Amino acid sequence: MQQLVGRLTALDPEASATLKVVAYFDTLVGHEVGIETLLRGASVLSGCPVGFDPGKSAGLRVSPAGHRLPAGAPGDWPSAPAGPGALVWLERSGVPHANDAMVLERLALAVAISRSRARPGSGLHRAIERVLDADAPAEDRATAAAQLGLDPRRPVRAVARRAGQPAGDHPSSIVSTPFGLARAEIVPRGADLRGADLRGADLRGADPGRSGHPAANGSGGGPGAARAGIGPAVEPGHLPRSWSAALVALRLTDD
Amino acid sequence: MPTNVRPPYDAELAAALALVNDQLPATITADMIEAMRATPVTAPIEEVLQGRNITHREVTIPGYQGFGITVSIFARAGHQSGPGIYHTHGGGMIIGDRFTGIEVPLEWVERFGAVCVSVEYRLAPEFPDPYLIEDCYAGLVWTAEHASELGINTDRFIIAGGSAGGGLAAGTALLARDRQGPRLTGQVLIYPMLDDRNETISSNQFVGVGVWDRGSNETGWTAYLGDRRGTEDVSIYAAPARATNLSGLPDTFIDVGSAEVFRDEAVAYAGQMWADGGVAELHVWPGGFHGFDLMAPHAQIAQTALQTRTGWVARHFSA
Repeated sequence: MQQLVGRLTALDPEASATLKVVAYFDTLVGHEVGIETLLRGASVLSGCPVGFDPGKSAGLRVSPAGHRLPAGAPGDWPSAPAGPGALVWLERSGVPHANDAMVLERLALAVAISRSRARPGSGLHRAIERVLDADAPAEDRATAAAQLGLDPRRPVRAVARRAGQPAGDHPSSIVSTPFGLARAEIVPRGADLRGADLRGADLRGADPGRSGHPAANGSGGGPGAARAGIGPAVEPGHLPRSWSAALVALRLTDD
Repeated sequence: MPTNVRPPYDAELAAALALVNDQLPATITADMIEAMRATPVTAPIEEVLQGRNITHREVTIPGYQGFGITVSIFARAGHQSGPGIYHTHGGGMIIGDRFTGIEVPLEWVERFGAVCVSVEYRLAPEFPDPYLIEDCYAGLVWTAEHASELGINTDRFIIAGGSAGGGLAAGTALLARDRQGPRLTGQVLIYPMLDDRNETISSNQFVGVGVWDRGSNETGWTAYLGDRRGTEDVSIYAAPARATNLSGLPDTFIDVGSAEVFRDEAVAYAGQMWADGGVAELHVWPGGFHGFDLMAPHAQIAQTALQTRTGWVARHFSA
């Protein structure tokens, strides 16, 4: 069956397709594709050329057919920051289409993640991804824990936040999860989780239990609420379990 | 036995597939045929031709048993003489028309000054085997007989088709061999549908995922062959994978994705050609789902696949 309904073309100019946009970029980020691939995706979904300016080196522009275009400037095009010093933009003339903002937002996030993975010091990010990965062999996770400076005898917690949330004080990274992208942070058991107001959980004493705890800041969840899912304290070798609980708890904060 | 182990999709194609599957489910069943035929699958041909310096005309020609069928003829404006492309469209034997997938040979018309004749064969299940293959053969005969007036130099005359069209192209080439004509110099089999038996490993790896899965294959082959599907009563022209002797065939280009049901039969076909002393070029695109170059042409691997295919045609036409 070829050339049937289903060909990937620009999204409907009027109908919102947020889930499609999110799914598209989450899949690409999960596969750790390069920036040009991300730009091609944004270009085909929006139907217009897309550009990237990394700030310190040559930029890229691509067309909806997936071809490279001559480099250009962001000018007045709708744009978004894509990590420190970098910018992405969508060359839409005229009335914005319904999905332009979402495409630009997810592109910017994906490009920022890709850049942070490639940067020197990205070993930190890889180590966090590895230490939380239930499918990774125990030895690989132990190596990753050592790279993060985690003492194998001292309990730590995995904390899950929304991908768009800024990093906290502890080592963190954006990771792929079955529910999309999330920010993973590893904190020592006794750490003060900034902005977190834990209902019914005692973080300073004994392990409060196997399940994760949803948390929100003291204001009770206004627009600035820093919602987080907090996993149980475990030895670093068991972080995948703590992470899994943290993710569940983060999803519970959606309510 | 259906299995859960399969090659992964290319990253860019995996992302595209998530959206493609919204409109095109992996499994096509018989009750979906009518709806799929009613849904516009390609842009109108006038739109496809816009901006291209290509002329288009239609002729009614005698198909199987003399029944009138339509062919579309495409050539550059002002065309005098050049290579010929006989195109058999795809659609699982059950849907599509002579414009389905036409962008691929149109590219070759534009770049190489070729003439493309695209045949609208009758579809299954209303018209089962041998109507489809005989309509295709009749169109090939007509094209060869009118080569001069069509501006086709038969020194370079290829047959090309994708998916079911690839299977029909292979079957038509076998008929042309065994009936001593018309003479083809090449065949381009694009992820071809060659084997009704559904016994290969790849035909068991894609159940409910991707595009044109195992279930869809059963639907298409059953419509095409009825109760004969999977029995000894199937000709090599209907299911070219059953041919044990592929000698005497023209130079062949085969491409297929690693992540589709047709992978193993395409690979086996190339292998049989080489065993029989033939000339064949095979490309298996890693992580490609069925039809990926048509559905996600922006993807890097799709661009490479298209360029590679066109590159073979360029070499064939200029050799």
